[in-house]
Amino acid sequence: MKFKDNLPIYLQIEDYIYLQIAQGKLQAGEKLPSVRALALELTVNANTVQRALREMTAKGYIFTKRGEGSFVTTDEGLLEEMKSKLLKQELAAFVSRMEKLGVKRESLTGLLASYLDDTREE
Amino acid sequence: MIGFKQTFAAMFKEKSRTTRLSLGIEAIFILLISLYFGIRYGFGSDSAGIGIGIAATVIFCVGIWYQIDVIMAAYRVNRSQTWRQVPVTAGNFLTANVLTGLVTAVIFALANLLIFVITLLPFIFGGEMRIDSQAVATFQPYVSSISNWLLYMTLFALVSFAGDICFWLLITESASVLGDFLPLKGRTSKFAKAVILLALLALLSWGSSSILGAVIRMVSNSGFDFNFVIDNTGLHTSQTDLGLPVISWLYMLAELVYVAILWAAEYFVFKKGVEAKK
Amino acid sequence: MKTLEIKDLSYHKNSKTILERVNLTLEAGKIVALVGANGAGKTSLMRVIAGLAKQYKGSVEVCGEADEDRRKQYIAMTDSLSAFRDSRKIKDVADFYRLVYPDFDDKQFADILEFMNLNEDERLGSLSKGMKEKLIIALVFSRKAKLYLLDEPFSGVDAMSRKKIIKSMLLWKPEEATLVISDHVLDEIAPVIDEVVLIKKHSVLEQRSAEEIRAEQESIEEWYEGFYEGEE
Repeated sequence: MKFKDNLPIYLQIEDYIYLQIAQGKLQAGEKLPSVRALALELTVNANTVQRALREMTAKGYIFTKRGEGSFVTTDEGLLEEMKSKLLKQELAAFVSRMEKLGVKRESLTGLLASYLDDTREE
Repeated sequence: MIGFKQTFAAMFKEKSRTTRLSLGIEAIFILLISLYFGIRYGFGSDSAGIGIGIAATVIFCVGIWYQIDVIMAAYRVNRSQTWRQVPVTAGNFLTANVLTGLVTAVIFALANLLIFVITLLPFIFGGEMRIDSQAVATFQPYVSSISNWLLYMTLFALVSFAGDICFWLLITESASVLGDFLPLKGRTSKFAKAVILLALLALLSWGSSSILGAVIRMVSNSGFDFNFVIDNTGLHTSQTDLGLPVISWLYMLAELVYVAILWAAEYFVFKKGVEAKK
Repeated sequence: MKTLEIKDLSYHKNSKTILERVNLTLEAGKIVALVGANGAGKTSLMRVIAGLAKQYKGSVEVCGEADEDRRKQYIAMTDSLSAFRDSRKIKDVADFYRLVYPDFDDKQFADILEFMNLNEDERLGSLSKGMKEKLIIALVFSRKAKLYLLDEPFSGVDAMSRKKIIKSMLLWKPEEATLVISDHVLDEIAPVIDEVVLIKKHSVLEQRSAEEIRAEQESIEEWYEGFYEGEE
């Protein structure tokens, strides 16, 4: 995985794990890989992974069992909230890019609808 | 941290590789020469004696080269980044370095003696060399005296060789320290360095030569006419066993003190100023 | 806990200034990049810390130990292995390490060697630049040290070997140990470091947390290059 170099990495690690949860690669209540394993997988510093996990724990998305590691929360409401946050983030990025291309907000839905129509068969 | 023993063991392991290699090459070379002359002129013949002459010369030259190499190896270890990272105190490091040099040199000398004896074997068993019983009888009363002196000189040579290693380490390392830290530039720096080094060299040489000179004078005045070995009428002393006079041990003590001073000076220079080479 | 504490360090050679009034403290467990232009004094700083350079002024403490010889026991520094001839095998070098470093771990050395795809029967002379650097890293991380000093471990090393070296740092650095990597570029190690220490004009110009720099929407490379703008 490649990180953006002008954004704190712990934030990007958080996003990476949220994505894994949203995609179902990590289920509610499932154990997260160890700090070391995550650090290796992402080729980042273990301290940075630890910080990301700390932030996520504070937000309630994961919880730690002493001596066992970190687990995804079983609070479905919280997970839904997280997923919708993720969707909002993606949409915000999409909208801002379209705006840069000169597309007005009002015409966005129309454009998107016709694009979806066009590509339906494929 | 590791102690003296481990440092010594590690240094000996690395240094004795050179010893083994040099001895191996030398032994093969001498063996080939002896075989060549033996096959050509017959083993044990007078003409095959040329082989012994050549072997002796080779051993002599290799011996001198090896002494220089021991000193250079000690210098390389002191300057080596690989060695200087080792967690050991400077005192243990330096002592191990000097003593491994000494020990490998002793092994080298003994092995050379063995090689030479082996080249002599065909002559001893070939019947060309006879032992003169009369000469042995004349020689008999002095054997213990002569072996005492030989032992003394061997011991003295050992102590002086340890001193030699310290001596040259001190000179070469002073040169590197001056090269690194003398706060002068260009030609002035080179000139100052040369003057300091020459003065040091002169001072230290004077020290060693005065002790060595005294010992040599003492030995040569000991009452032995060393011509005895060559022609057996030349023994002019009435004493049967001279033993070792007290003064010889005083000279040994002086040499030991001198070596200790050299070691201490080298320790100071090494600890305070000798950097590992990049 | 402080792993390294340098106070008022100055180091001169002949009449040349190499380091001047260096103050630096490194905490335990950190991965630190030591950056600066070639000749800025990075290698000299490491050599002073490791007790390989002499006649400096000021104090250097590693794990609270100021004595030049005694602090060596806590330090594992990369070494070009110049004391070994090309004909020597990797296992000969390992034998040497085992003999002189009480903290050398055989099992770990075997593991790292395998990870690096190196064979202990290979001769030093037959190793490429990248392979040799991997061996050097393997030797360093086979020791259980408190302070690891890697002096330009990536110079002349191909991209694949670089990745392996970085992974091995993450795999084998003990948690509480501090790792210092010197380099004149930052591209590949940027994601793995905690802190950057910038050496310029013979001294420590800046010491910053990597995430702190990124939080200001600046990449570490841009931040680093900012110090050299208008100089070329």
